[in-house]
Amino acid sequence: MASPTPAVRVTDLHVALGGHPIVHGVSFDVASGEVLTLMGGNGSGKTTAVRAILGIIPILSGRIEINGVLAADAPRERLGYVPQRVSAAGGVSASALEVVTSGLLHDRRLIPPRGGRARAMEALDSVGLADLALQDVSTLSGGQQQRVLIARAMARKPDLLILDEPLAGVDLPSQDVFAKVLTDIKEQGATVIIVLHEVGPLAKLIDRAVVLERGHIVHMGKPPHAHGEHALPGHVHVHPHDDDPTRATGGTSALGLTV
Amino acid sequence: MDLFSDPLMQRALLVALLVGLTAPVVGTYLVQRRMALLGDGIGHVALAGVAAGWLAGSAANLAQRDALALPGAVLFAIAAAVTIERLREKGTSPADVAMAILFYGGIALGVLLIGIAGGTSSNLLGYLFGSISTVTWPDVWLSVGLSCLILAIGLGLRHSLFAVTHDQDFAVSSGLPVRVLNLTVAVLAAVTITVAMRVVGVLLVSGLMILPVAIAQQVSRSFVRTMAFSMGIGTALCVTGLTITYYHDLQPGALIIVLGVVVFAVTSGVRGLLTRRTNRTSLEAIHG
Repeated sequence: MASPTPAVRVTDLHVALGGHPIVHGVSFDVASGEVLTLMGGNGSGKTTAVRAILGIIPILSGRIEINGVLAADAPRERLGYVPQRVSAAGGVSASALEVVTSGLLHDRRLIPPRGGRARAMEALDSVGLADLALQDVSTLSGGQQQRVLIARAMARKPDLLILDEPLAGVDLPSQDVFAKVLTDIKEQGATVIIVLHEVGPLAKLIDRAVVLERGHIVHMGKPPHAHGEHALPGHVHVHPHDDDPTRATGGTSALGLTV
Repeated sequence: MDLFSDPLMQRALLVALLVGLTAPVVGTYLVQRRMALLGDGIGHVALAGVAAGWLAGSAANLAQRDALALPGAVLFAIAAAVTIERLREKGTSPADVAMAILFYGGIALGVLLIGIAGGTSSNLLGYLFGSISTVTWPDVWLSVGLSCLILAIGLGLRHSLFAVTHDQDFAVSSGLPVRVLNLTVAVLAAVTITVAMRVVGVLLVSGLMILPVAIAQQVSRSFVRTMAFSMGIGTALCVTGLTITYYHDLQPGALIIVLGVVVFAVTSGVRGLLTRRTNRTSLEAIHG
């Protein structure tokens, strides 16, 4: 029986930054409705892999598909992205409402849809920031700024949500809000890829982990419980649609790990 | 009233009004992208376009040898804007180096071309520092057309231009046509510069795009409000400066920019005082 089309399929992905190879032949699938975490230490290539999936940085080789369509051609109407921080903070004040409203634009939609303001307010309300909608985002705390970025992604009502270390440097109230948002979106059946240093308070929400080390996958399967607990024998999970496990793990065997 | 019955002032006020409205619209996007000096780079190349237009006018034996100066400036400025954007996008040269090459290359080419056209570099002075008194009705109508274009695109696409200038990575991940939108900002800047060139000159044109935004920033907490305030401030500066020069023998472009600097200094000073007072009140409330 043919397996259903994964929400995301990454095949033999190679990415370089400034001429330096960062991601080496990584392959993995994310099933529809699955919450997958990409883990690893600094420089492991997890953020680079995610940015390549999103098309922010070019790939050297390999193939990325979103819902069975080549990522570059895939519509982004229902794809939400939460970066670590606003990657290019502007020089002009911007209100939280304006930032969240920009999440309603995608592909050829260059102006917000009818009722866009209400949708943006609803998204801000879902992260507990409706009363700060008209506040300049640069005057908000780090945690509040991160919640604005989550609201921007949620305004699109995503069925695929990609988050890059959303808990990094975030205060406890914002972590609680984030855990609730993630719980809700999981219950709604959305697919989630989340980059984390360690699973921490999100452990029970995560279905599967892909652990990267120096651009190679060193573990794929049950999430490690603590930082640094990587390749657990018996838990390493090969590419679910590939009969050749050595190809699927993208260099795991080279690191002497059990597959 | 003399001011409004004088045809020269009618033309000058109309162009000043248009420039005051349009320059801050583009300036808001440039400040947002932290490319406040882009206008300077493009302006210097526009000067070469003025000289090229002059050369073409001489070659065609036109009665007014500078009749093609403004169209020449528009073409050269757009070419410069596209070049800068491509260099920035490819990252082959650092943005400041690319800008410097355009600065000096533009001025040098302008002086060379004006010489070849049989003129002298003094013919370029009006474009360097502005010469609103020499604005003709065809100039005015061209400015009206270009200003309408700038306002239609700059305001009509404000949501997507904001998205791209605020967080380009997010815009890319959203599948927005980021390259086209970035080029749009650059081309809008080029067109604005050629419109504003007659009022303040290429050396001061960036000031007219950036100063109203910097002043509006002192009081605004949102992007759209900053843009709206800066349009009002830009218009007020241009019309006030021009009106003063009608009664006093002063250079309009320079006066407009100096007025802008003074307003910025006053507003930022008042804002600093208010912030200090608010902080002190908060501290007193905490410590009783």
